[in-house]
Amino acid sequence: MSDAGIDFEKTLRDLEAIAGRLDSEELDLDEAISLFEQGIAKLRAANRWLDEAQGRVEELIATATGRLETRPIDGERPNAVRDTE
Amino acid sequence: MTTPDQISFLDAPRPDGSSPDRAIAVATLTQTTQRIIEDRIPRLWVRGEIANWKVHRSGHRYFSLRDDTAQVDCVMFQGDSWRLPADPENGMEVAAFGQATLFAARGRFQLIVRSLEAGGEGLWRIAFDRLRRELESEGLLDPSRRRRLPPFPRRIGIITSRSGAALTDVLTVLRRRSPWVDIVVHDCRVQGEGAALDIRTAIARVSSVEGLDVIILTRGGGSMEDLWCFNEEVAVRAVAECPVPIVCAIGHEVDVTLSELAADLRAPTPSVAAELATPDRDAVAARLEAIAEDLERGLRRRVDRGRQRVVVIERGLPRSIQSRLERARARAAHVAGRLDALSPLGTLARGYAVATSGGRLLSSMSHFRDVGEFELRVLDGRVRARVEGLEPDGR
Repeated sequence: MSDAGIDFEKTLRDLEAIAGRLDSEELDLDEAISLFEQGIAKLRAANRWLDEAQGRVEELIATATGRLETRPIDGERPNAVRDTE
Repeated sequence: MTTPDQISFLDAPRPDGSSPDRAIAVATLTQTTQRIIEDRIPRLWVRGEIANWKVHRSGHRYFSLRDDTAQVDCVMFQGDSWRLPADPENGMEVAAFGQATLFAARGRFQLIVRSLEAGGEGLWRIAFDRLRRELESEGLLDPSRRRRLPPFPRRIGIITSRSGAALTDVLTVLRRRSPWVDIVVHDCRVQGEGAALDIRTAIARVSSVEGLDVIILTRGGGSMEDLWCFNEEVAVRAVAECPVPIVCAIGHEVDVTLSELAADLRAPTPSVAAELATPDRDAVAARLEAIAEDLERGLRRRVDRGRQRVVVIERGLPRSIQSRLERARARAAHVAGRLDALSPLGTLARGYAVATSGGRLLSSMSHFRDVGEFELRVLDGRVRARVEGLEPDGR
C-alpha cells in the first residue's frame, strides 16, 4: 500500500453523508451538482484504491544491537499465497 | 538403561571388605550401591502423596512421596520442573516418573523425578484457576476492557511461529479479504520453555510499529502442554496490557487460554482471527456500488424537481431572469448527460446486466458456486434467475 493511500473509513463516511444530503436537503442545483461531482470523484478514488492497493508483507526482526528492522518476507510464502487466490 | 560399562562392572568381582585390612572406602560402598540400584530399577512411575514440597532458589524442587508405611526423598531439577504448570499442594496424590538412585555424597536413597502428574487436569487446572482468579480480581479479564477493532485496518501485526501452518492460514485470508493491508510478521516460539517471554517481547516490539491498527496473536492446535505458554502470567499480562487492539486465536475452538480471555477479541481458529480483523473487499465494493446508486438517484430527483418548477414559474418572469434560467437548464441537461455516462444504467442500456445475490455482486464463476437463485439488474427492472450450470472459459 502506498503511503498516499486514502483514509477509507473517512471516505465511506463522507460518501454516505453526501448521498444523504443529496437525497434529503433542499439544495441549489449548483450545490447539488457540486456535491454529486465531489461524490463521484471520491467514489472513483475509492474504487481505484480498492482495485490497486497492494499491502506489503514484512517481517519484524531485532538486529544484534537490539534495533528493530523490517524486511520483506522472502518471496516464497507471500507469492505462494497470492498464487492460490 | 544398562550400559556396556555397567555390565562389565556387574561381571567384575564384588568389592572385598572381608576384613579390617581389606576395608573398602565409603565412596566405593555408595558408588557400588548407586550402580546396583540404577541398574536394577529402571525409570518408572511411582504413586504417592506429596509432602514437604520446597522450591529452591535455583528452581529445583525438593519433596517426599509417601504412603501409609513408607516414604522416599525426591528431587526435581529445574530443567524438568519448569514444565510444571503449578507447584502441587502437600497431601496431593500424584504419580512421579523418575530414576531411583543413591545420592552418593550423602548416602541417601532418592528418586530423581522427571515429570509429575496429578489426576485428570490436576496441576494444569490448579494453575489456570489460580491465575484466572488473580487476573479477574485485578479486572484484567473484564469484558468492558475490550476495545473494538478498527473497521478498516491498514497495518496488521501477526505474532506466531514463522514456520507454523497458522501463519499461512492467516496470510491467505488477509490477502484475500483486504489485499491493501500492510502486514508485519514477528516470529515467536509458541510452545516450550521461554515461549511466554517470547510472546511478551513480540507484543512489545510489534505494538511499537508505527501506524499499527491490530495485532493477531495465534498458533494452531496442540496438547494442553503445548498451548500452556498462553496461560503463563507473563504472556497473559502482556496481552492484557497491549496498547494496540489484539485478537487472539490459540489452538482449536475447545481450547480456551487466559491470553484469549485477556484479549480484545477471541477467535476459534487462526483463519477466523484474520476474518474478524479485516473487512471483505467484495463487501466494500458492493457498499460503494450502493452509494453510487444513491448519489445518482439523489441528483436525478433534484434535477427533475428543478425542471418541474422551472416550467411552472417561467412565464411572467423578466427577460433577464429567463435567460439565466435558460443557462441553468442547459447546465442541467449537460449534467444529466454526464450522469448517463457515469451511471451503471448507461452500461445496462447497452445490453449488459448486473448479477447479484443477497446484495452481493456476482462477478466471477466462483461467486455463483454456492448460489441457486440470483437477481439480474437490467435497464428497467430486476429479473429473477437461477444457475443451471457453470462453464469456465477454456484457457
